[in-house]
Amino acid sequence: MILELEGVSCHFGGVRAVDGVDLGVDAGQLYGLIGPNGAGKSTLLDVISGFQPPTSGAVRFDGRDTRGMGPHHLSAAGLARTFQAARVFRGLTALENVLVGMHPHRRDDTLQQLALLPRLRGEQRKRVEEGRQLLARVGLRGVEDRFAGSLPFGAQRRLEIARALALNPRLLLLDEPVAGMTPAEAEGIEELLLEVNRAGLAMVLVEHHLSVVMRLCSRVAVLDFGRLIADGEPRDVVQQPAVMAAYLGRAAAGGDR
Amino acid sequence: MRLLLQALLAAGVSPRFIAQQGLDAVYSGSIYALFAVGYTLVFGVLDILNLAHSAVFTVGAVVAWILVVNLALPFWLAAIVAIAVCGVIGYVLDRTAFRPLRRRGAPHIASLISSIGVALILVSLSERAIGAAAHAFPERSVPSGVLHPAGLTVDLFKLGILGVTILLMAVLGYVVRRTAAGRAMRAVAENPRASLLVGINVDRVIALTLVLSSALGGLAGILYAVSQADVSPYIGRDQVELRGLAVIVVGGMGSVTGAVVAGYVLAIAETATLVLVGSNARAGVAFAILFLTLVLLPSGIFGQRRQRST
Amino acid sequence: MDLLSGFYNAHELLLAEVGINALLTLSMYVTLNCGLLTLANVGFMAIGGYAAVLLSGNTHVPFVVALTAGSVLAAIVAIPVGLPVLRLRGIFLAIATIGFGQVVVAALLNLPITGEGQGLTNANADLSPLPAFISLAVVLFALWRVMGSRLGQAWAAIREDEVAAAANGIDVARYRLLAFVLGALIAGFAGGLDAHLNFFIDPSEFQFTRVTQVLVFAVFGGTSSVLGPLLGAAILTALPEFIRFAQDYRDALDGLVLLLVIVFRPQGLVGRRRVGGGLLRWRRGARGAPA
Repeated sequence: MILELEGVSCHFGGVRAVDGVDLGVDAGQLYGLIGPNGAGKSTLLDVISGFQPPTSGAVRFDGRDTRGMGPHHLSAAGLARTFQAARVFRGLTALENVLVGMHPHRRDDTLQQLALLPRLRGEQRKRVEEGRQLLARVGLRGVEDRFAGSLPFGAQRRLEIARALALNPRLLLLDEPVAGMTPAEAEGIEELLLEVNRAGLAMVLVEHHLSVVMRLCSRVAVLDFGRLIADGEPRDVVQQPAVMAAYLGRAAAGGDR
Repeated sequence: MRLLLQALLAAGVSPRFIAQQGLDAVYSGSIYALFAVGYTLVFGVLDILNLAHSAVFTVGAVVAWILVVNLALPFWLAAIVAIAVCGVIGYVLDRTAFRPLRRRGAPHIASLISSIGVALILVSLSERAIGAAAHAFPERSVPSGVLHPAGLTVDLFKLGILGVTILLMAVLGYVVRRTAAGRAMRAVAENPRASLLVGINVDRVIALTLVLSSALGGLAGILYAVSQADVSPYIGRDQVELRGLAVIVVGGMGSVTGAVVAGYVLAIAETATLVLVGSNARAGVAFAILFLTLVLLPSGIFGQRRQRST
Repeated sequence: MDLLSGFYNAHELLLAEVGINALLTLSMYVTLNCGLLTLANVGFMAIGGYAAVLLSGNTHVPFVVALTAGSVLAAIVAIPVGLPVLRLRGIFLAIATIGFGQVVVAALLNLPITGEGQGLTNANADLSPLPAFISLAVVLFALWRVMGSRLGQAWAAIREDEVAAAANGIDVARYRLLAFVLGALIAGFAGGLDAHLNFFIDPSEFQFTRVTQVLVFAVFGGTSSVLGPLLGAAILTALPEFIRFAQDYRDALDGLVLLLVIVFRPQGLVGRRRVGGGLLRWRRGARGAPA
């Protein structure tokens, strides 16, 4: 198992954002995490990726307990994530963005830079080439030198994915990757995600749209009020009464985007 | 508080001395409070630290002094004009340094920097106007008078400072809580975009806030200059720049109540340090309090950890 | 050639000042490029300057050693100061560093070892701008290379979005501290050079006005490349010397420049207009992303 959660809880004051969640993701699996708004999905992602320490419970990544590991540790160890708001480095170019993803794998070259070693140029060229390939893979060929902040939203999402891939991760967490997109853009992203998964990368897809998850994921967990209320194959899960109640009960209040 | 008094009495300090120092602390506290309220208002409504505020403090005193000394205006008139000038400066500050940045969605740090620019200009002009040396208001020109209840020396002007502060805080409280303008200010402080959507003229509210804030700053400067007989281009920098920061951080940035409370707390802490330790340590009190607060409780006593919706 | 050497001799002091101001601005450039608005560099300059004077005045170490020792001391002090202070963000960080600067000045005014208000005298003053220029050249080169290195890349990422940076394997806290300490090192060095230029050193050199002056240089020049601080410091230090009027109203003009640049051309002279907010990020809360 690439990711295991055991009794993970996250309490803020009186609020139980995440309450006793157990789940497991296999290597290479496309795992969905769904639930109505406010169910605690983002908090759970924050816990898994090290941005939020759990109040109790254990998270194991690749067999290793992640207690005390901050986000930079985890990402360097192969746990990548994207954010709901597509956090690209707006003032850097698309290519520069992807190059940042290579940071953990790049040797520290400060001293060599000061000595102006010629070898560095070759290394940089290699990285740039890799970066270009990643951009092409996510469909962003040709915008390498544009500032990320000037790219349309869909492109920024793709860029974020490219940057995450540059980390060479073994697990990719995606926080609502198709939110706010036109159906055409969303389809493009979905295809990309499927392709990346087919290449062997395990993924946890947080979504609050049922349809996306149904199409992409081989297994789905459902969160409501911080609790896991279902966990299994999408077809089965979606028919469970608890799940239907959670969604229908909230649909009126939350609305469906 | 009681502990403090007991410590002082045990150290052999006379109660009269304590009372006298206590009075001084109250006067200083009033000036800090008046100054800090303006500071924190701007932060609350605009989310900007207006570093030109201490320059306005200076300008208030300098303008009042010039009017009294060079134009022989009666003090109360000079004070009113000086306060008005400060209010105008506040308006100009908004139009030149803050509004253009708002328009283009610049990060708030940019406004901090532009306010520093305006501060430099104001202080420099003050230097040119009255020179670098310290002056004082001529003896006869300012209201004065002394009472001696119970062997203490009570300066009537300083007592007036306290009175003015209480009055203004009450008026401000009323305005903020009961008037439409006050409600508009609170709305903009909470959520400028939503305020715009419900028809509030955000620009006007912001301009009003700055005018009000600068007027208060100028008033604080005048009161300081008279009560301490100290008018120079550097009074803002030396007296309230750091202290103002300490007060609003401790009180909670954006909280008017916090600014008032923290203003008096700082004054009392400084006086206590002065009495117990000596005058050299006094300068460090504001910084120590500031630093401790930033490290332990950055949101301050009355501050809110709310996420401002944009 | 004669013209040049004539100019040089007449304006030795000015050239040295330009060099020192450029170094100070570069120290600010380092921190600004990591997204830190720290206004503490003048405090570190004071530490470096006083330490250098004390050392060269009381021992027989060569000037260069005293200078280096002063700047290293400043860097060392930066660590315990930076650790708590750098957990703050945005305005709170700015305030804390302003406070630090004030504390240094207060200490200088009150500690006997620093001569209290009178300051210290420096018997070995040397008016040549050469040390300043050499140091400047070295620092310019070093920073130019560093900004293109993995370290520089980390700083740029943190400046743009520290949460995203953390999610990409960058230890945000460590890199911020590194930037802060490096800035202190450079500022301390500038302080030593500055002290060496004068026959005395006293606290009035290090008031908040000096900090704002350096800020003006940095903003005016722009912080996209190492050239920005150099040009900003050079132009704004030298120009008032040649315009009589400007000297009297020096601070006011600095303020005006600051205002105009921020409003009309925030990227400064050499900056490229960045998309998405320019040089500094604003955070509403006091604390940043968890480390």
